[in-house]
Amino acid sequence: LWSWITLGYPIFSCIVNCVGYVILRRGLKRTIGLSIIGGWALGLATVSGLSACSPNSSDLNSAEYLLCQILTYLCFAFCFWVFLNLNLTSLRIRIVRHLFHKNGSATLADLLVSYSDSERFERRISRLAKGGQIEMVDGRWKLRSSVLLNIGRSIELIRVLMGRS
Amino acid sequence: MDGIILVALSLAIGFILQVVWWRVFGANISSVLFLFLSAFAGMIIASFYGGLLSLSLADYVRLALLYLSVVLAYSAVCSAVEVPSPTLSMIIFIAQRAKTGGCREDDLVQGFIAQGSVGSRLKLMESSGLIGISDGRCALTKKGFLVGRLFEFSARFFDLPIGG
Repeated sequence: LWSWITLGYPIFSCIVNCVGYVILRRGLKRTIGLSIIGGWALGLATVSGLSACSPNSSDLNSAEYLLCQILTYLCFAFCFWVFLNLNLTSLRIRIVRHLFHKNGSATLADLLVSYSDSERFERRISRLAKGGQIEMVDGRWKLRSSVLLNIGRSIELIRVLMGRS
Repeated sequence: MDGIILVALSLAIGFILQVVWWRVFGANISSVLFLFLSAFAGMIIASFYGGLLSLSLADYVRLALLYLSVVLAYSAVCSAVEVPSPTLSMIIFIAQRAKTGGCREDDLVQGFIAQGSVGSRLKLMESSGLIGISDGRCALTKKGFLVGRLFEFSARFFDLPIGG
C-alpha cells in the first residue's frame, strides 16, 4: 500500500506548488516571478521531504526512487510554468481572450489594428528589457543574459533535426 | 538504475520516431504524445517478456508517471519547434549581431516583421481549429471558446496580466 501512496507525492507537490504560488501572488501580493519561484521551491521541498522521509517500499533502489520522484515533480512543475507563461507571452492566447471578451467574434480589420507589428514588437522588447535579458548600449541592443539564447539555440537544433529550419 | 535506463531508452526511441514522423508527415504536435507513448509501451512489453526488468505494478506506474511528465514537458517545448517563437527569434537575431557592436533597433524591427504578421498567426489559429475566418470576420470555434474560458479563468485565478 505504501508504494501506491508514494506515487501521489509528485502530484501532491504540484498542488503545493500551485497553492504556494496563489498565496504568494494573491495573498502576499508578490511579483509573478517571485511567486513562481516560491511555489516551485515549496513543491520541491515537499516532494524531496516526503520521498526521503517515507520508508522505501519500492523495488527501485533508493537513489533511483528519489530521482524518479523529484524528476516527475520537476517536469510537472515545468508544465505549470509553461501554462502560466502562455497567459503572459502567447499571442494566440491573447487573441483568443480578446475574441472571448467580444462574445467570440471581431472583424479582421479590428484585430489587425489591435495587434500591429509595432505594438507586438514594443511589447516584446520592453518585456525582454524589463526581464534583464537585453539592454540598450549606445543605441544598440545587446544581450545581457545567455539563458534565453541557449533555450533558443536548443530549439533551433531540434528544428534542424526535425527538418523544420 | 534499470528503471531510469528504461525510461531514457524509451525517450530516445520516441525522439527518433518523432524525427522520422515529422520529416515524413510534417510537424504535428498531437503526434508527439502518441509516438512517445508507443515507444514506452513497446519498451515495457519487451522488458516484461524479455525478463529484463522485474518491478511491482506500483513501480511500473511510477516509471510511467515519470515518463508521462517528461513527455508533457517536452511537448510544451515542441510547440516552439512547430511554430517559431518571435521572442526567441529576436534574442537569436541580437546575438548574431553581437560581433558588430550590437543590434540597431531598425534592423531588429525588420527582422521581427520578416517573421510574419498577425495575419499569418490568424491563419495558423484557423488551421488548428481555434478560430474560423469568413467575410472579414474572425470568430471563435467551440474549441476556441473552451480555450478562451480556460485561460480567462486561469488569468483571474493566478492574477496574471494579459500578455502576447
